[in-house]
Amino acid sequence: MAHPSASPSPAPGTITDLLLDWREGNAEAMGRLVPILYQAMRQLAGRHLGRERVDHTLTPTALVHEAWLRLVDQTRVAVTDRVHFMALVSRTMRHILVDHARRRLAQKRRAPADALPPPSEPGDAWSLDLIAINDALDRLQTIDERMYRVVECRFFGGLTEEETGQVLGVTWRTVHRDWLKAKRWLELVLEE
Amino acid sequence: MEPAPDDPVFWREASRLYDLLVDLAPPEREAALLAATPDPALQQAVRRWLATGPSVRIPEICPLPPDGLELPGLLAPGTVIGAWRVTRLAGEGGMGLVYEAERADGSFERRVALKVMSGPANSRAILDRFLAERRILAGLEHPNIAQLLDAGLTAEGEPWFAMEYVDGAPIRDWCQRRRLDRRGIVRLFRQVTSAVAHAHRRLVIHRDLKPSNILIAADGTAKLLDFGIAELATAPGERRVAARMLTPAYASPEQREGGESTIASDVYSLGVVLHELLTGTRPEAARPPDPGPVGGDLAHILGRALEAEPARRYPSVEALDSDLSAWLDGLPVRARPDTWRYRTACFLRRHPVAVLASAAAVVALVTLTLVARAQATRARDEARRAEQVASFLVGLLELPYPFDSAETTVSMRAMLDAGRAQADSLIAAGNPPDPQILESLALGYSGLADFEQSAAVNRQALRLRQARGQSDSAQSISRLLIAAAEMLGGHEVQARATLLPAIEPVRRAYGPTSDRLAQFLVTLLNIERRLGNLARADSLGREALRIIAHNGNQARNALGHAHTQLGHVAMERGDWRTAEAEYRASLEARTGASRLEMGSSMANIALAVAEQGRHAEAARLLAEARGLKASLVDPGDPEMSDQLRQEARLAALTGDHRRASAMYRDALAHYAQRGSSPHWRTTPALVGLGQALVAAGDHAGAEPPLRAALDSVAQRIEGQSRLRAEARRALAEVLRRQRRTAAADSLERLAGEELALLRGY
Repeated sequence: MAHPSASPSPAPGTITDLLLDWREGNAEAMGRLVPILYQAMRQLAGRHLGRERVDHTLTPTALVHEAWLRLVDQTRVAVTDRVHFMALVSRTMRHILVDHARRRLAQKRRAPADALPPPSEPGDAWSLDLIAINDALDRLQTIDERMYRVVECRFFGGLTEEETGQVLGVTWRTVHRDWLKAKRWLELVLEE
Repeated sequence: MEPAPDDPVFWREASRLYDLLVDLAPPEREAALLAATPDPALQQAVRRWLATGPSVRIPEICPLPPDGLELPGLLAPGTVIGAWRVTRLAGEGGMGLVYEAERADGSFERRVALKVMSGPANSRAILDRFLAERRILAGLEHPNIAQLLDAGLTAEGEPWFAMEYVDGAPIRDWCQRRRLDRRGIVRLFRQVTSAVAHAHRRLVIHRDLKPSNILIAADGTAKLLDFGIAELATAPGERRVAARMLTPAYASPEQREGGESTIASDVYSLGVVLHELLTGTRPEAARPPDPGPVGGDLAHILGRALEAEPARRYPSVEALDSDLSAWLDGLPVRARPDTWRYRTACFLRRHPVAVLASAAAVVALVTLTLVARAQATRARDEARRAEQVASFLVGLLELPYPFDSAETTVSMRAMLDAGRAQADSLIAAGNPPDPQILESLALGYSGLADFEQSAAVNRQALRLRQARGQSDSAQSISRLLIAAAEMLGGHEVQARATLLPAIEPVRRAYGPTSDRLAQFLVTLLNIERRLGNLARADSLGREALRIIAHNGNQARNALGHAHTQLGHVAMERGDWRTAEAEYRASLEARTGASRLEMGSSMANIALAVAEQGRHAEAARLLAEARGLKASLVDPGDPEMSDQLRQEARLAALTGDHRRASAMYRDALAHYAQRGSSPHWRTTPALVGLGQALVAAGDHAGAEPPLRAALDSVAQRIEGQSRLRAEARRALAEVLRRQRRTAAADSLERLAGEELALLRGY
């Protein structure tokens, strides 16, 4: 069975309102913003990456920037909110990608036991790698929250060092060092 | 290469060293590293961290899926799932999407949160388990738990849950926004502990407690989300994968290592959440929480909840909650009523043949933990689990009694029944729990004096051991437990049939002079003695004592039992002096060990002493025994009715037959209140009552209890029985009064012959 098609995009106004509310310190706005953003990002990603039309030139960076342009009413928000929005989108990207990887692997496992093992596809390796990175990232969070957030912004959102620095309130140099350090650490634990 | 420890504290230290060394030239790094830490594991981790050219390369930016993004089904508004119609996407959680939904048929207005797990349930067994367990979850009704209303599988086989919709803020935001002080936070938090404790009593472990799973509604009511869902959503074989889905910041050390989720891990996660609410930061794992901002008793409470070693944490959420309550009231935390400690000590020493196990609540806790463990990954090996259980129990000894309510017995039974139902559903789903879990449940039933259930559950455990192809000696433990339950349930012949095949395997596996063998012999002795086969009982007792002495009298539990049983044999023979000596030896073996069993030995000595005419001494001993027992068991415990029966015997021996008959009646009434009591408890009371009534001149009243006693004995005794002889004598008096002299004479003669045989066997 195919799932029914997704609901229509939320109006840019909704996301903008919630973003503004959140920036003004309303924590509940964040709670409402995340699902709407998630839904919107899935549509955006699906539009570019759906089974029939894979855009191999696409990067998370492009998706995140497109989200900013499409989902937020530029006339009402300060430019400084852009990076915070993009950081949120980075996290959403992570969820969407990990979710996709998990489903993919679960469906592989669902194949009947007496059937031939399903052929290995490039997407399998991608899924396994992504889940391994995601798990290692969860571990990293318990070691150093800032390094973890740097990876989330840079790796899943394609934010630049400057943008990431603005999100976290540190200099791009710090982001640079953190990123190098975190990347090596992830490589280290993935080697095991 | 050695894998680096998966320990945040280790890595935080490594991270600090990395920063220290990264700007140095590579040749200088090594010297600085050696100077900075003596720990070779740490040195190696930092070296590798700093080294260039690892074999794994992480790209700068996450690549997108190469063969397209398959969008997991987003349900459009209007989609109907089960009885629910989706209204909107409400959020996204660790395991899937959350929708807001309403009743599809519009029959009544109810908003629900509909969670759809991503990833289909991929086998029949998971499906069965899912269906079995959702009933348990649906039974979780508590004002602070968002209730599971409905569950099922989508057409694609994805599990979905309809839960009570909670409109609220995560607890952390709520506390910050309201600027709650410590007392306010603790008060709010106790709603959470109350909910978790409720679930634990129903054998449901949350596994994923974190602030975002705890919402506070506008009126200040806390609601816990996702109870037991983490557990349900995963197949047993995938538990290690599931561990990754847990939020690592709130997961206990054992969960982070991919270990089992237990009551103790929920206690830990609660500790992390409370720490974060109170201080704004999460505690550092494996390090005592910073007492600075918290201070005093509250820091102690957090420290206890956050112990790295599960066995050292609060053994239950109730225990944590009671300390929080004490803190709010300004009372000292961690009160330790003696009663509880002794009950537990008592239970421990009785294991595995828990005859009177009044520490039923302990069993309940063990059961809970073990059942939870059964569902988690299997413990690495038997030894490790045994160790865990032992340290868990030892941890309990220092804690307040968690079930201090009049409903202990009732809730205990409900808990055991729930545990059994859960074990049954696991067995039905082809994922049987560890036999030890069933044996713990069986011990719990023994504690409630429900020996029938106990034996039935133990038999189930034996079947599991057999199905797993465990050795004869592993099966023999099951047989011992079954035999003990059967014996205590009054089925001695059956008990012997169960136990006998275990004796030789134990002799072979443990050796002819092992304490383990002695333990089996003592149980067999007990059975033979009850069947009236006194010569056999006596020789079994001698053999057991030789073995125990050979091993330096270390097996004090078995030693105490052996002397007690030999004392009983001597009492049967009418050899009061030997009986007294055996009972005194038993008391000596038990001194300092089990207070309940000491009480029972004292009462035994009292009766041997009373038979020798030393009534005042007997009365003193019985009073002391009563004091000991009363401090350890509930007034309704059969142990107290046994005590009453023994006091009645003394009253009869001192000639106060009216009082004796009243006391025997009371004891019988107490036994009856417990439902069915085994004949070995009721028959002596019936005989005593009949004798007392005869002595008091109420011959008509004496006949029914005496006949009932004789019927009961006739069905069971193979050899000789003093009780039967006494009953026959008393009944002979009744018949003589009815002028049925011939029948009376014949009974009298039978009684005399039996007593002679007993004396001279």
